[in-house]
Amino acid sequence: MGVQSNIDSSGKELTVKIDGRFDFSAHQEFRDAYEGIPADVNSYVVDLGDTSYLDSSALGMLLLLRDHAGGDNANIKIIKCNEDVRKILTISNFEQLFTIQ
Amino acid sequence: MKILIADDNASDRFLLSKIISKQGHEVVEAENGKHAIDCYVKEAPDIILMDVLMPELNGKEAAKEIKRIAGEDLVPIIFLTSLVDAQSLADCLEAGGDDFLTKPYNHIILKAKIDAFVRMRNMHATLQKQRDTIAANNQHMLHEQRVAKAVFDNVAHSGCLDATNIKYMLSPLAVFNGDVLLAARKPSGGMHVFLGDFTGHGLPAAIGAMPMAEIFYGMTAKGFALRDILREINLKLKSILPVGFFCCAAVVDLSFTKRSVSMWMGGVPDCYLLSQQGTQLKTLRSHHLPLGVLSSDQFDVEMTEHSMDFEDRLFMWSDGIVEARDSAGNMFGEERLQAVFKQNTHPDLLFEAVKESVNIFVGETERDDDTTLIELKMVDESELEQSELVLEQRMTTDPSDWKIDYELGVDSLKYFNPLPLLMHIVMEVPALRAMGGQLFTVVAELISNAFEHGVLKLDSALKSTPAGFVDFYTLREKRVNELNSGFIKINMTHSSAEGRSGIFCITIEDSGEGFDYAKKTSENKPQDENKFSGRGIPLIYSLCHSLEYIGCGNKVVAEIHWPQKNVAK
Amino acid sequence: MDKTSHFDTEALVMLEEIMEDEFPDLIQVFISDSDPRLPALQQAYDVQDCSSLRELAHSFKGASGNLSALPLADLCFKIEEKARDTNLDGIQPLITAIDTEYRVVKKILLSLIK
Repeated sequence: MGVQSNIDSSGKELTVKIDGRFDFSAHQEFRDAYEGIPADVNSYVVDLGDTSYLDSSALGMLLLLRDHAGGDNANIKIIKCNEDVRKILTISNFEQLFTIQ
Repeated sequence: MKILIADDNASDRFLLSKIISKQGHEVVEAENGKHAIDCYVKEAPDIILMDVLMPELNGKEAAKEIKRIAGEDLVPIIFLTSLVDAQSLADCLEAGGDDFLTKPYNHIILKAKIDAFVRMRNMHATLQKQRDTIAANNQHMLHEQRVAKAVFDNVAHSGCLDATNIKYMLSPLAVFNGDVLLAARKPSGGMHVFLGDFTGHGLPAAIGAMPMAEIFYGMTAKGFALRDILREINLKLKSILPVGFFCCAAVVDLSFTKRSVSMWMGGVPDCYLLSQQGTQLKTLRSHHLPLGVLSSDQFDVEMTEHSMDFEDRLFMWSDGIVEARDSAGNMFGEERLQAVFKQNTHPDLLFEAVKESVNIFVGETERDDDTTLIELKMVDESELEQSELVLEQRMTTDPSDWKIDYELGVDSLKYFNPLPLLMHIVMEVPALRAMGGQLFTVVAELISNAFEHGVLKLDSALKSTPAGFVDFYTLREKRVNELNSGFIKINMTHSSAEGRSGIFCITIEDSGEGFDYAKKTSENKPQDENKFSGRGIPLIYSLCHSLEYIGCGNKVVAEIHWPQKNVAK
Repeated sequence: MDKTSHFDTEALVMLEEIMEDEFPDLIQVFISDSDPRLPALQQAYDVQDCSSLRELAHSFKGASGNLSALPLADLCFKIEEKARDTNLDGIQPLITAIDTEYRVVKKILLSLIK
């Protein structure tokens, strides 16, 4: 389990990538990835390409990110979900809150 | 530190003693192994310097015994030896020694070793203290959980999970895993059922469940619709839970009279509806976000309706079942669950079959705190036990002698349901509380008549056929939207004779034109009981002491006496 | 009497530093402890008690080692080894040598504390 993040060349988009299991143990690292970043950042990408599994605390962390990023005005894309991860997001109807690709 | 020196050689003891006291430690001396053991028991030294070869009892045996007596405590033993071969030194350590010091003694090395062991002893003592603190805290926490569970059970006890049409599996400690099962009979008939799965574990999960259960039971008992209850619960959870915490839920309004079920599902796994004597399986999916995520204005209460014939069954579960793992870490999964359903030939045995299947898969050593499962069967409501509505018990004295006038204007008529509020007032009287169900029926029917037939001027004759029923409600909606004038006046009084008997009287006047009640009364025949629309007035007649229409028929007075005599049910 | 051929003189100086004003006491204790050792060794040899011989030699070796009388300690070690192997040959000459060496050591020690 590991969390990597980087801001793109325009300085406006932050990408956070989670490898392995996205569960409570990733809590602190995930928060550290988006807190305290430059105020210019106004869009977010959560890359789940190497994420094997997502549990309800991970859903909670996504909600925290959304809240941090402006709530209803947040611009967050969740990308590269595998079948299992996609399923969990669908059951919780999270596509009503996030753009999922 | 207090240091014990065990050596049979006087000059050795003398020398060591001097070195050690110079380093600031207290010294105790023993001449042989046996003396060393006695000294240990009496003086409780912190560190022991033990010569290997001694008369009476040699150093190794003495060390073994002292270690045994010490038990969990750490008392470092440094062997003093002039043996220098590796095997002998290894033997010393094997015998229970922690280190060795070779003769001739080098005071620098001795000091270094003693200091090292002092550090080790301090660390060991700290660890023991921390361990004891952790163990005590853990005990305390378990105790707190027991108390929390008792509180929760008191809140949840007014439910009807034990009704004969419900089968359920729920671990007693499930609330601490976020799983909640609630069920309540509605005063007007039917039941509300709630299956919830909070994020998180432990007390935080249980804490969210409590206000939620109170709202669910309180509002159901007062006759609120499930949509209103959901809105209230979502609002409550959104306001008290931190961001990132929510409750996945499947909520059901089961109607025995309409033979249907209305469902709201948010974030829970698919449910199954089994019908046609077990031959047809329908999958029901979540369409909503979990409770506690969206604000009130975004929250969606849209429910889906499904018909349920006699003996059809609805199965719901939390994700604990699908995610239950065996010892190799494999998940039970949806396919296995579906297989149990497909292979089943006796719907009545299906619940047990699912339970059994999960238990076998998971094996005996695994806990079942997370597996929550419920089956709801469609039955005739008369099959269920008479439920007692257990409302809040309060210490205040009850009002026995009161009256209230309440008038609803156009806007209120269009959007506001006054029933819960009126029932709340009525229920303040203990004797009326006991007849809650009947009173609800009477008041609901009279207000409904006043609104639909009086204010909206709808004709109840429409409701005599199934198609007409649909037309009636379509027309009703149209007329409500177009309504721009009208009122309903409600007056309620209650008086009691020394608390042993009492009379409750409700008068409802609407702005409509009334009807020919004399004609209607004579038309009513007992066998009309089962007609769709005929249920209303005859039922009320049987519940009330008297029912009178006044004036042109737009005003009705119903009187109910308690205690009741020979009331037909 | 040359101190260096009977003692590790550096170690002895260090011992004196450690013991400070109790150095004379240490010497006295050593001497009163060690005086009876010779007769005891002899006795053990006479009755051919190998295990006592070994223990006594070991103990004497340790004590003299602590006082850094290394040649004396070495002689005791030789007796200890033979006794361990239950070999009584050549022990008598060693006992005699120890007797001689100890007298010298004792004299030197006593001279240090006058």
